[in-house]
Amino acid sequence: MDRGLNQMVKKLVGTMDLPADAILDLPRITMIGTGEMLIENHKGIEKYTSTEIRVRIKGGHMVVHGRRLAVRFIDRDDLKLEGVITSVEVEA
Amino acid sequence: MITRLWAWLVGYVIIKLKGAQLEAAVNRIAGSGYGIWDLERVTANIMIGKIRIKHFKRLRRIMSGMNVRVGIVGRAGLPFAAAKVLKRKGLLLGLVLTAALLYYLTGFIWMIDITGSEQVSLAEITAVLAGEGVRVGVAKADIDLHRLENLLLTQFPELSWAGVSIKGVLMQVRVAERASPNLAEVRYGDVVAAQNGLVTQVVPFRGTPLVAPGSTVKKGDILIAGEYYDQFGRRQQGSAEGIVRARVWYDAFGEAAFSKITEIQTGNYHVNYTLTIGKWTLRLGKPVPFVTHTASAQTWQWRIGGLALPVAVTKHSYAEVDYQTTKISIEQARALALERAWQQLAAQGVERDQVVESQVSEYMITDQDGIRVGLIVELEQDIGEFAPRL
Repeated sequence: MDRGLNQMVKKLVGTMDLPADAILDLPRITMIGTGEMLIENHKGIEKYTSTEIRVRIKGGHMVVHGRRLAVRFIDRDDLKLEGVITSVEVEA
Repeated sequence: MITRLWAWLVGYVIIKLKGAQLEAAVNRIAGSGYGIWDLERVTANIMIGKIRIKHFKRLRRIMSGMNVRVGIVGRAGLPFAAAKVLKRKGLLLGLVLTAALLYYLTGFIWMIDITGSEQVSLAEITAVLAGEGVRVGVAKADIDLHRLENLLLTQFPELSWAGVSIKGVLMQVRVAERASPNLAEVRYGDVVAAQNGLVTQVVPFRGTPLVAPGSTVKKGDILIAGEYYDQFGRRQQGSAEGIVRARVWYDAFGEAAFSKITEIQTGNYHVNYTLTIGKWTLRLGKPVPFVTHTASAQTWQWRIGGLALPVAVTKHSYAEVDYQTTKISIEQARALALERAWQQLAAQGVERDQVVESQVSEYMITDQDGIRVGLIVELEQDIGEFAPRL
């Protein structure tokens, strides 16, 4: 998407109070306690070990650290993680 | 949860991904719209996950060009379970037979539940149902519910409503009884004469007396009618009640002869035996020499354990008798005849202890053979009995 157009869409979303994840394809991250995490609109797994899962998202990456981490489910849009999550980093 | 259930229904396979670019392979599968669940990293170059059968079949095309091998390590879900069962013909046949038997058995009534009856006993209702062939084990197709309802209503006037329904193998019979607590209270009827007599006293409690002292009544005549007029002059129909005493007569007779025949043993006895083998009977000893005699017999049968053998010996004892005629005096004969007359009265319900001498008149007829004694008893008693009008 063109940078100018992108800015315009962002402004429109902000003004009209539209859901940014749906319009701008931004990730929506939901955590239930520290044991479960759902990442919608992910762009794929970059690294998968039992202590670290690195996920590509629009405009960067996010890294989940923890113990006994596992991918409970993955498809085109959703990624559900389980395990003991100790920290989450987002890299823009 | 729903996803997992659906996956089980359509069937899934457990796959093993082996290679160097496992994350890239997973992304490619997921990016193609095929979900993977329970994805686990086993080693640096092995991952295990679950995927639907339909999606697995398309993996080869998707994975082309990648240095990852895909293999199946397990199969699960309904299609595999069904295939397993289908291979076991005996089990399948058993299942089908069981289902067929269950279906067949649900065509019968296995429980009958009767509710709502208080005055009418369960046994009575059950008996009426049984009379129509409705009992535990009867085929549902043979039951006409509407007919049963009507039958219950006609058989039991106490019921105001009857409902018969079938739920599965349970037949529910629900009845409702009329609200009236005592049917006798609201019955309409008269007090009628239980026997012929001459009325001596009438005490009506309810109803209109139709007889007065001095009236002669026949059995069945209305003594007190159920119809009456209440204090406001309104015509009412109720159950008549009251006492109607009347003089009633009972008659009976007894007969007795002037002679009596008695048997006297002469003191002569005779004994012989019979041997019985199966159907055959053999007499042992002389036949009985007396013209008139009494006889008695005693039988022995051999047994081994509890088993009776078809061999028996019977001892027959005969005693010679003479018949003698004894004279009976007129007084004795009269007493006997009188006794018989009283027995006849007792059969009509007259108790001798309650009759005083003044109420009894006696007559006698005699001829050369015997005597006849007649009795006429006059009693005063309540002759009223309730007879309902329909």
